[in-house]
Amino acid sequence: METITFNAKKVLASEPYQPRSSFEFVGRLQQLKMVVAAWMGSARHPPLSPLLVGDPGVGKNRLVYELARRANLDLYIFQGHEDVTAEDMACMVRFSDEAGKSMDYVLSPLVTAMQRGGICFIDEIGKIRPRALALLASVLDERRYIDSTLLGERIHAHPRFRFIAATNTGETSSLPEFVRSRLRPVIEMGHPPKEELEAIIAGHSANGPEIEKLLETFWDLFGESKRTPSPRDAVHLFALAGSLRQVEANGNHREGFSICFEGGAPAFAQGNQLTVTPAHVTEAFQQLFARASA
Amino acid sequence: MIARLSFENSELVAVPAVHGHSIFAEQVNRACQDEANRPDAIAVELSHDAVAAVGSWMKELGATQGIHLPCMLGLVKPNNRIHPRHRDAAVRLQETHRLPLNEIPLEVLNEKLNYTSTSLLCLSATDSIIEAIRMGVELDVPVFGVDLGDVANAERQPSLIPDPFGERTSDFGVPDAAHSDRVIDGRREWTMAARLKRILQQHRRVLFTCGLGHWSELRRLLNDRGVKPALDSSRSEGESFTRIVVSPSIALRQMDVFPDITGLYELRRKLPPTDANRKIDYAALAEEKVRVAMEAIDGKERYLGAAFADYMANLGLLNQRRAPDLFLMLHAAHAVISPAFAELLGQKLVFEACAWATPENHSGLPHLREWPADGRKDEHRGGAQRVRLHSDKGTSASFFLSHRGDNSATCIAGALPQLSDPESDSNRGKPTRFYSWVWPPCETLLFGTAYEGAQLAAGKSRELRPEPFAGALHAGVDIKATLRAAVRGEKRIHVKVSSPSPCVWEGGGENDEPAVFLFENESSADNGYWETMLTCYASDVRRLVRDKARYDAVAEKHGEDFIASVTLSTDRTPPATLRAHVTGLKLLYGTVLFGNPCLNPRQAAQWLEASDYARCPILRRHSMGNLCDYYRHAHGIVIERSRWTSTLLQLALPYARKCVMVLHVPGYRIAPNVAREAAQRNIRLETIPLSRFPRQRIETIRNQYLVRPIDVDAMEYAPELAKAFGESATAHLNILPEHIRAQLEAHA
Repeated sequence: METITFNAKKVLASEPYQPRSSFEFVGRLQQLKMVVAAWMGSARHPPLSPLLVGDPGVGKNRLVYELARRANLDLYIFQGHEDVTAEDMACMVRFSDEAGKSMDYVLSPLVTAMQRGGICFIDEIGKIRPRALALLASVLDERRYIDSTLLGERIHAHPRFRFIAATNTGETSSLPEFVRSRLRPVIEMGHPPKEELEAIIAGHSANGPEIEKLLETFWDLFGESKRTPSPRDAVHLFALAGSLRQVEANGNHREGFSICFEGGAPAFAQGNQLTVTPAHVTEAFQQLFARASA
Repeated sequence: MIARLSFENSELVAVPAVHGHSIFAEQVNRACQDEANRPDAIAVELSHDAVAAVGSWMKELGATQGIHLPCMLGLVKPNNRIHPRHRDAAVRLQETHRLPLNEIPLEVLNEKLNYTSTSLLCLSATDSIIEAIRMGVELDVPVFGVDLGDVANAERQPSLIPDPFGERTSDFGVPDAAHSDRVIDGRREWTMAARLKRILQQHRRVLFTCGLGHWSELRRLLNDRGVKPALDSSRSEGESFTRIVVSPSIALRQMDVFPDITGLYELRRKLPPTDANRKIDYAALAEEKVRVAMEAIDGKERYLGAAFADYMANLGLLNQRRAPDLFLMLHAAHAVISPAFAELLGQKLVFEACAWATPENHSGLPHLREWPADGRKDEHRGGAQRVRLHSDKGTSASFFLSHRGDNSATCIAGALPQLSDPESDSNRGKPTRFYSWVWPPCETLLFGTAYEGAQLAAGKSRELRPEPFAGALHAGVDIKATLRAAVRGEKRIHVKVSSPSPCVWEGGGENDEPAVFLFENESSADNGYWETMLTCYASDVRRLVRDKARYDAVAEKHGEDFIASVTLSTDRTPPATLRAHVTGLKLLYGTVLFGNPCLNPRQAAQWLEASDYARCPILRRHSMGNLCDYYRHAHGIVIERSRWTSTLLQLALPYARKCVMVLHVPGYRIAPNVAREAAQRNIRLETIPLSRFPRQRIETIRNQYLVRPIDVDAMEYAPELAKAFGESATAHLNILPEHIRAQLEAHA
């Protein structure tokens, strides 16, 4: 962790998140434009702080990763949950690892992004209790600063600082009015169009021209189960189908097999290189969705 | 913006256009009004039959006398073709369904083969093609339709194309145009080029207008000596068109950036070509719209005005627009201010901006309207619009529509706020099914199940539950709970406590409580549409209540549409044995019942009067959009329509006294925000899984058959109905509580 100095106080900065996905980002051009339009700001108004709203798995986080990549800015993610306190938003303390030092200050991802001029993304903001969000008020309006009681400092946002939050559909009303009124525009992320979802699947599959049959099976399975597939559902389904194919190729699906992670990559990554058949897709669907809903 | 191509003895004056935009229509008009260089023939990117249909209708409408075109009329025709790209899929589909393509549901054909059964051509005054035909009619110049008629929908990706004139073509930037689909567009362009060459052999000066996306290839083909003139300048393919009135939410796709430009254009097209006032100042118009929008912002939300304007301007820049259009503005209103504001703005900019044509003032022409009417869009269905035709004879089944000259690629597709069409005046208070009633045994079983659910909930709440000891022993020490706590490391004694008094869900009169049925999971109701179901006609309520002065006061203050229930459902085809007896069949996904059953107008009136009109929403004009507005203003509840299960629960809360019965599919969990809202209102949500009831019963109550009674008070039904259903209209009354049965007996 890097160190930042505030008025002779040394504090540790949060680490930016480096998205690892090697797959090409597909579609969502309108939503990308909407966030960029919000972040552009104007001479009379500071940049807006958009709120992404959508069902789980539709690609809210992936959109933010893509924005960070295109903007070439560091991305600092704050994961929302019920136990977040107001001060967690600004600065925390921890027992120090350094000899002779009892405590370390650790800047939150939000304040690190403000200080460094990166993007702060609060994921699942709807899960944070309203009182814990109080400090956000001054960050999201024209003041663009945050007061940390623990640190005894007021941190002003770097001009490059941008903010975005995401929440699942249905949790927006749990946001307090003072935050909801500052999180504008509200960008709704529905399920992607069929062509986009198919392009995502094609990007994750090594099947090439035979992908058509797999896609047909994919849509038939979801159609029969009356379930609308999200991009996450599709990616997981084809990853598992690839693993099943891998297991089948190794011939050890009857005797059981040992899980092997080579070079940090899970075994199914190799499975994707083999040709998956509709039967693998069907079996993967049964395991992932049919049993879950039974 | 006008391209001129010279041939041996003739000249082609071409206006490549963005469909629906008045700038291009004005160019066509200007070229035709130029007396010195007036074309002696006009050609357009439409089929021969389409041009003939539009031309003859224009003559009937009085185009030769220079009257304004009503906004919006249209022509629909059936589509016969499927894109060749889907040939294999079409074969597989027939194998899977064991049916020929024409018997496979349209929904499946649209989803699997991108097939739309119907094509719409709007008589949009601001479209260059319509203007060209109109000028032909006005000036008595022959108009040729040089395009093919019977072709499959082209499949194009929206993208930017180079401006063929090397400059910006309009005040609002170079628009998105369509990538060509070589399979479909290639054949069309080749035909158009050959036919144009034929017309150019016969006429000295030809005016031609087509979509901007076709022009580069057409110009190449026109200059290619290898493309020979066609034998015919155009040819009938036997297409048949139906005349219709088009509702605003559909017509917008074939109109200019704001609908009121149509009216402005109608006035200015008559001015001399040299008149400076002919040009519409788009930038000033957009500024005016922004001003209207800013003024419409509610006082509480005014602080968002600057953010709204900036966001809109930035989004315009990113979409290569110098000024916002309607869709962009409505999106910004929805995203930055609120969905309710976007709806209000939509009303102002769309419905109040134009005198929209209605079936009443066009000899009862069928009315094409979006379906579902509340603007819910199907997931994964691309850009096809789902619509229905309404006429005196009834309502057609829903079908998918493709637009001839769709300009929606230029808008923020997929991000549009809800834009529901208002009911036309003649349909006001008479929704399609209003003459029909739900077959009483279906309704009786539905309410009876809710009453039984309440009894189960009461039994459940009588059970004792453990709570940490806090001074009172209640029903004694709970040994097991205390031991379990000790294992967890808690040193606390637990006692047995009885639950709060059970939910007294009685229904009827003053004791009514709402009930919510959730027959499906959140994700399983793909094709559902919302309906607000009235108790009965307002006139019937007034006729049947005792205190008419009180009724009039309520009606004056709140309106006359008393909502008995709200449903999310989908249409089903009734079984063959019942088809002759019923007017429709709905499969319920979920519903909220506001209290008393309303099996007939007498019962409805009795309930409304007994409860002093306070136990159900009352609207001036019932629709889901208006209902959501009503909740926002009257109850401070922002209805979340993206989660239908929560919507139904939210709708129930303000009309509950102590509790709401929730009968749900197994595994359903109440959303935290709804639970919180209920707690704030001190309302208990009593949940009972539907698995506690026989599956057969649940299937029966979900299927709501719509039937017509033989008297105005819906007290009697034809005997054939009872025979067809195998039960009388009074079946299952025994499961209703005594006081409800007493209501019905009083009316008998």
